[in-house]
Amino acid sequence: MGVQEIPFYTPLLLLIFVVPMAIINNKLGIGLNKRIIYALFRMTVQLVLVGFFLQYIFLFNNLWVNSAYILFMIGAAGLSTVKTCGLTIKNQFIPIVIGFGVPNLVMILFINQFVIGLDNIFDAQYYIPLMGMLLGNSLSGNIIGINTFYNGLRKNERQYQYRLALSANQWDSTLPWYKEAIIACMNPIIASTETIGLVSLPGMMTGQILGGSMPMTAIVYQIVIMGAILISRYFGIHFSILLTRKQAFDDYDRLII
Amino acid sequence: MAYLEFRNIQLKYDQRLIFSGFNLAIERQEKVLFCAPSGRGKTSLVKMLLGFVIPDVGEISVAGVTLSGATVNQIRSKITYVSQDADLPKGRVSDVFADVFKYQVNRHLSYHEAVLSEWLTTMALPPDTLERDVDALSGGERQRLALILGILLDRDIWILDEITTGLDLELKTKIVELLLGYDKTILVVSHDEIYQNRGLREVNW
Repeated sequence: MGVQEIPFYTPLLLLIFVVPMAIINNKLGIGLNKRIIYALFRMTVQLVLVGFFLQYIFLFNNLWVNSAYILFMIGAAGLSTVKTCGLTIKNQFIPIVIGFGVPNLVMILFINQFVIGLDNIFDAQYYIPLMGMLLGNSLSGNIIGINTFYNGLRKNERQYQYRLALSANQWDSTLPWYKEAIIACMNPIIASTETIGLVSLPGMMTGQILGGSMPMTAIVYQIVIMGAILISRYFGIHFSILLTRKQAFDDYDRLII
Repeated sequence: MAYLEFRNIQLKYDQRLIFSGFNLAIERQEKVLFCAPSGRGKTSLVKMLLGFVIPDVGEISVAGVTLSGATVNQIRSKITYVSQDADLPKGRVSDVFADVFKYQVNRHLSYHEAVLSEWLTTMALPPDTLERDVDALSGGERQRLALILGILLDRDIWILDEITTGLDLELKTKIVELLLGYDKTILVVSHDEIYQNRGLREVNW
């Protein structure tokens, strides 16, 4: 049993409900109309483009094409991190991309090889969507963690300097904020891992069930992806901070980003 | 060459020229009071010694070593810095102290909690301070702990930046007399009259 195909025009039916939303916003002066319309429009265009693109990638299903697409995803996520965290792109793009690209890449190949046991671990059907899930999670975790670390140091500059003055080395002097960053990065994912299934059915599971998988199959995949997300997010934030901090301090251990 | 030297220092801060062609030499075990008016960069000056503020022009040397990225750790390890804010590391007081003496540079010092307990009495701090969390202490208590830590680190140069703020006269007198009694090179940043007539060289600019 496969999923019921949707004709391309019926999603437009949902717009029926957007009309009253727009009227309510208008009447109450809630300035969301423009943003809602823009978001829906952009989402549609983006997904259609990705859809076309993925159709072709799935058609080729070639190691190099698939990996190039994955690298593109990693690059986009890296750029987003660098921009959101206000790091200078010139110095920090490569460290960030390596910092969370590598743990996620290792994780996806490990899952495909040992957990799912695919014949072709670069098979687009698994490689691309699963990597997308890992990267998406790592991305938000990285942004939280990196911001916590560098902002913590910036806000507590005097305390940081005092630790240096006591002759802690740079690592020891920054340790309190490093720990804070790891905790801040992991907190949301630990919370969602704890409550998953109780509050909402996760997206991947929903998709698989709609696609015709038995719930137990979907559940096993969900368990794998939740574990993988938690693990790669953890290593991703460690690597990202460790690699970015190399260029974040001057010779005097002063924060310069 | 003097023990501490600032040579031809120029420093801009927020587009404002604070130091220009500034020179100062301080001998070993000399006791100096920086009493320039507020906003003249007293704290910046001592932070330059520690390499936290880097002058735009000029050179700083400590015990014959010129301050640079390569020597900053060596120089910091000769200096005890106690500031008004006393930004002690977070945690339980006894752990905070124990940790500081675990840093590589400080490992040669023998540290025992018993010594710390004695100092608590001297500095009029309750004995249970050891068990308390740094965050739960008052600013004045933290400041005195930072002083104790500074004394125990036994370094050659002491920088005391507005350390008497918030202490009552009796305690202040006691602490100032105690600190100035040490054979250390002592740099005091303060406007407090308590330092008058105690033989400190006054430096103003």
